[in-house]
Amino acid sequence: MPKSLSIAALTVLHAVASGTAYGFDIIDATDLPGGTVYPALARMERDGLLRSDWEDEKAAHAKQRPARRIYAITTDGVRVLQASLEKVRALRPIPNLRGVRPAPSRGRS
Amino acid sequence: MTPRLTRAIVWCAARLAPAVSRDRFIAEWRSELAAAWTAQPMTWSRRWALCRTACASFAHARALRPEDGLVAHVQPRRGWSSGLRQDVAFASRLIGRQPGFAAIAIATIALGVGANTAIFSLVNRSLLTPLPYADPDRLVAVWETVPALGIPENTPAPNTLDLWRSRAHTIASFGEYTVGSVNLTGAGDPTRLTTLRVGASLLDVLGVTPVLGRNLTADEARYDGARVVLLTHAAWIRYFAGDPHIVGRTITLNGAGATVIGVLPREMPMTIQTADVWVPLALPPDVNRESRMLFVVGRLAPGATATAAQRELDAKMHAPGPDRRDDGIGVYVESLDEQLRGGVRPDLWMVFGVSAAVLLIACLNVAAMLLVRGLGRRREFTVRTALGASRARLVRLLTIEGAVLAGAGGVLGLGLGVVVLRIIGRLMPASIASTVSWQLDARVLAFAIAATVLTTIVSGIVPAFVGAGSLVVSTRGGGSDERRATRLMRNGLLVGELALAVVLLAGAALLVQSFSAFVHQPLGLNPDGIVTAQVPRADRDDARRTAFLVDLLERASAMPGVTHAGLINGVPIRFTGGGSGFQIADSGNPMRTLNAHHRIIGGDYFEAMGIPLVAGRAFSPHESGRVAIVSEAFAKSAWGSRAAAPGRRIQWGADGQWIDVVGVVGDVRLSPTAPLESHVYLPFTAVEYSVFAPGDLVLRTTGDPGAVARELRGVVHAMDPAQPVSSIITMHDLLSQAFGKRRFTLQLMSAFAALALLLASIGLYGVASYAVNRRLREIGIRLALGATARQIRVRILGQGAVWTVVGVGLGLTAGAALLRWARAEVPGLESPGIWPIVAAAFVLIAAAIVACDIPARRAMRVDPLITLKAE
Repeated sequence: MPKSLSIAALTVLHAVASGTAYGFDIIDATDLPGGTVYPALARMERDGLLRSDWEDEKAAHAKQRPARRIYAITTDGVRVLQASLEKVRALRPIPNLRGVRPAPSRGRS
Repeated sequence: MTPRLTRAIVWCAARLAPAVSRDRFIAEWRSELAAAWTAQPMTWSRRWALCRTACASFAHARALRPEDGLVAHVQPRRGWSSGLRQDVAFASRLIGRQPGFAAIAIATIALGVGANTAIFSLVNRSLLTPLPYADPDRLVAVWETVPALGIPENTPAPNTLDLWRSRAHTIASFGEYTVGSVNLTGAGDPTRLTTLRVGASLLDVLGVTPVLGRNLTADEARYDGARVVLLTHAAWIRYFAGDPHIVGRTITLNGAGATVIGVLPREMPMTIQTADVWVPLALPPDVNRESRMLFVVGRLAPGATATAAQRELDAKMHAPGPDRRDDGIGVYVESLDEQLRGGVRPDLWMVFGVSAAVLLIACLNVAAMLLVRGLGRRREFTVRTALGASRARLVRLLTIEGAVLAGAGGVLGLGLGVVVLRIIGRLMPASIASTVSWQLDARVLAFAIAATVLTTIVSGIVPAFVGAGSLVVSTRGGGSDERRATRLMRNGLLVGELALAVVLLAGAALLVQSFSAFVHQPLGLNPDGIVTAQVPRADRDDARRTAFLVDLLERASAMPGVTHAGLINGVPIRFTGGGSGFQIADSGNPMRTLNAHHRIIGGDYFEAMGIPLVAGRAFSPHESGRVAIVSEAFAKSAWGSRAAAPGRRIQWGADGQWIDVVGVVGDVRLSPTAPLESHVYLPFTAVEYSVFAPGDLVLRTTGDPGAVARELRGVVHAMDPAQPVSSIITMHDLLSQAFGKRRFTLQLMSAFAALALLLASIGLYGVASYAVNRRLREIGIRLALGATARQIRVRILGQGAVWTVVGVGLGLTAGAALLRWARAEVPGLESPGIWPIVAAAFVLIAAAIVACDIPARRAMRVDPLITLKAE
């Protein structure tokens, strides 16, 4: 089980935990690119934070589309999500962030 | 259209996913896409977004691990076999998409494999399959030798055989036979049959059991034994329609009854002599047992070798003892296999080598074509490499394409091989057909498969290794030119092919030259208009037989269209034996002996054959007394000149009687390959020689030989209805039969050389045409910058010419080596000259010019605008 998640993975896990079950819907909900969402889903499923299953075929056919894959959060996933959210919450806002004079970025123009 | 595009993207991406997760991956993405397509009203921006999302499947696929699959504990199959079916299917589709290329490649391989399969099945049956006898490697032929007279293989006398039998321990048993002929009557037209007169032990020595009936007994083999006969399978079918109740029947041979006791197996074509029937040897008690007349076959004792038997007999024949031989006569033991098949072996191996060279040319051709085509598929390989295909994977793909082509060619080639064998069977002269046979068996099949696999390796794997590597590198470098190594490889293949083709063409030309030299050698006689026939007279009474033959000569000369008629005991070309020693009188040395062929003749033999009389006189129609006519070579070696011969005397045999030489005639070649030889002719009308009964009639005709043949049958039938007339044939046909073996080899060689030329031209054309296509842009620019169409053509031709010259040069070098070898090895090929290889080089250069000119002309017609726009 990973000790911490990337922000992208955390966002995806958060979306699933909020009840967004399908891959494309997660993309829409998180506003992350598919190229980020799907690898994150794959990794988190491998790590046991997520579980996936096919939805009921009859229900899908009633809506005139093939059965989709449903992602759901596991108990491990809930634990990791909470721990990660705690960490994020621990990051207090910096009051005078506007006053910070950042050093110029290197490497990129 | 967009749903389909997204599905295609996902399908491509799935190739990157581990095999175990692939199905799930595709299903997941397709269902998501389908849901997306149905859920919302489609705008173009939405479509675009979906396509981009679909591209995310690549990232997804790469993130998947094999253990993510539904059956995570199963290790995915990796390595050579995974996706094999897919690759084969892909290769087949690809080949189907370029039918022209595929047809040429498959036809090329089919020709190569077909020719090789056909020739191999001949080699297999004729050289590799053992003789159809029990333990054939223990069988030997045993000959007497007379080193002093330069006679390597002479038939031993009965006394010599007895001596061998009593002394040899390395040879467990001996079987003897001699050849003869009988007249068969009462079974259709009267026919002359050739006989093998065999000792009782011959069949046991060979280890052959008759398919019907039984073997000879020792009693039957004696002189006063019962008259019995064994039929060969062919004679049984031909004269007795394969009658299953033939055993026990009595047939009429030479006017007397003989009981059929058995039928020999079909598989005896390689017996020393081809005969129709086997009869007991039955030597009369008063026969001269020092007369050399027996052919001897021996069976080695277990563990003994032919060399050991040779050593033993050499030692024992000269051992001191009461019957010690001190007459300079030796023994020669040779394996029966070598004796029977040694004659065809070099020719067959040569043809086999040539056909293998043709296969190699075919392989090089297909290899060059595949390489060239691979270069045209650089874009495809770029995508494959970008998607993660390894070099091994590319090599595998190219190899499988080669294998699919070779497999198709191999199957077609096997079928073609059967057709080729049929054709060869028709061309094969009878003299070879008896020792060479063919059959498609497991070994031939295995050979065809091996040839196909070899083709796959040479034509598929080699260019795949060389090509795939350079292709990947070239795409990475981003350049559009093929690598130097690939170009060298392609041109190297072409050069090799050209060089081989030159050698084959030169070889064929060499054979043509030596053959025509043989055909045009003077024979010492004039073959135009000669008709010969065998009229063997089975009359035991000498005087009656002579009278019949004299009458026959008179009637034959009176036939319309016949100018001269003669008789002889053995027409040149057909009969090459009958040599003996003659003692020369008045030569200074009383014991001086000369070897010459003795011939008993009658009628106008010399006029009929066109042999010139150079001194003295010819025989009169009723010549009597001990007189002889000698040939020029004999006269010169006996008395120094032909003019000195008439009036001199010679002695023949042991009777001590002198024979007067009355005339000298020209020398005659007994076979097209033999030198001009000494002859001594004796008249059959003289009572002293009438016992020899010449049976070959020679007619000089002016009209249609066919009409003369029909007329002759009528004339003989009118004289004696029971008298057979056989083997009516013109001298030209007899000669072409004698040339048969050589002509057959020549035809095969020429066919293979033509095939090599064709294949090399196809290869040149393919590669030149590729080179033009590859350089269309360059040609377009050149034309745009002011080059003339003519300059372009010259340029293309020039580049083809460079490689042609290199290839032909290599071929000429190899051809010159071949020529040197031929001078040393091939008898009768005094000076083959340089023209065969020069002619071969010219033919190939002409073919190369044509092959390069077709694409060059296409290059001339390039429209620079279209070409440049296409880029």
